[in-house]
Amino acid sequence: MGFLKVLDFVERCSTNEDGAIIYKEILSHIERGQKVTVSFSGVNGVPTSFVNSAFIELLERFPFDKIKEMLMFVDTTHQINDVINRRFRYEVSKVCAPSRPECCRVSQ
Amino acid sequence: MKKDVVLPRELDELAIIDCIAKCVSTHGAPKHKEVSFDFSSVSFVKPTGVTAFANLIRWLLKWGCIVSFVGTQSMTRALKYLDDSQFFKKYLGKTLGICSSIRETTIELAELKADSRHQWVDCVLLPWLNLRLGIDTDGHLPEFRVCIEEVFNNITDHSGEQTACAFAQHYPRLNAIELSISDFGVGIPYNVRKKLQHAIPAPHAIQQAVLEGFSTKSKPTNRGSGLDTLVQNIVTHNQGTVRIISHDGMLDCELVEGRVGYRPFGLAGLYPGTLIKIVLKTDTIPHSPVEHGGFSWDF
Repeated sequence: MGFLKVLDFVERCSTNEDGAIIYKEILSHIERGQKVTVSFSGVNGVPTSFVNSAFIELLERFPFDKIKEMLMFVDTTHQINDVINRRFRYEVSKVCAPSRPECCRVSQ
Repeated sequence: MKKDVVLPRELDELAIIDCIAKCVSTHGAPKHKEVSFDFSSVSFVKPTGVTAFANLIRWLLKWGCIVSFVGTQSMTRALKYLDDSQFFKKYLGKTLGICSSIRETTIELAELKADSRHQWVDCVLLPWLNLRLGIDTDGHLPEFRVCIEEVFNNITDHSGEQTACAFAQHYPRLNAIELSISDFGVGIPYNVRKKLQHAIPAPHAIQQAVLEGFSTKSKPTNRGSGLDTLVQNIVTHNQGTVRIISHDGMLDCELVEGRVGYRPFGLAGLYPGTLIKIVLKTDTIPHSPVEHGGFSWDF
């Protein structure tokens, strides 16, 4: 299992660019079939730009069930938990629109 | 030919619009090559007035206009407030008064380029807040720093403008911090109308822009939620308020019966770009710092 402390890779978790760096690291683990734990030690909060680029972008490559299986978060705060869940919930609900039942990526 | 602009008695984000109309054409270019601003009538300056006026001056200078200030011989309270914010030092190279210095209750007026905004938050804004409030602000209310980052990311991604102006003041007796950030970029209504392919009125364009998931996709990575997060964090979590002004529209966001209430207004004039005013309530900030723990998917 891979372990990735975000502040080892970026100075702060503020922008799309910061998120893109984390995304590349996560992707390299998942593509090798390796689960990865992302640690937010030292980070109190993250904006949506960072979450979108670091994690939501994974939905372009993998179904949500796969992401849930391969990606874990630790050392988070309430704000971080909320923004990650909220962004994924929104993006996954867009994919699973009633008009496209065959695209549903969330297991019931 | 020089244009003389008499500044209003009370300089704030709405009064500045009339001054902007005298300087900026509807095509987004300066009306005059030389502008003289007369301060003799100014009796009060609000924090948003500092931010918006600084933005106007920076924009005129960027266009190569000659800018001058008159009516500053007498150091009125209003002029002292502007001088202490370092406004005149920024544009004249020195303060008007020898004794002028940054007040404890304000930060220095900041002009921020894209590559320095986030460092400014860490190195200037948060330390000042920590000193004013006696807490580690980011530790107790990480949502506030996140909101500022959302605003800066929006400017970087959508405005097409490199420089933003920012200014903040602490009102201890009101238990409030007022922060305003402004850019003279393309503005929210322009981007929203381009996305919707529809000439939606500016107030409603701004309201559309703060909806979760609405994105004008100025960059491929944009997915919306930035302004929604800002509004939700400040209004529902902090019980503060957010005002967004862009073009001839304004949107006020405040807590109404436990949820965000949106009040759109049309303006008589035009604010090129965007100004965001955040009022953070300091008496609702949690007493304890946030705790780090585990994560679980809640759906």
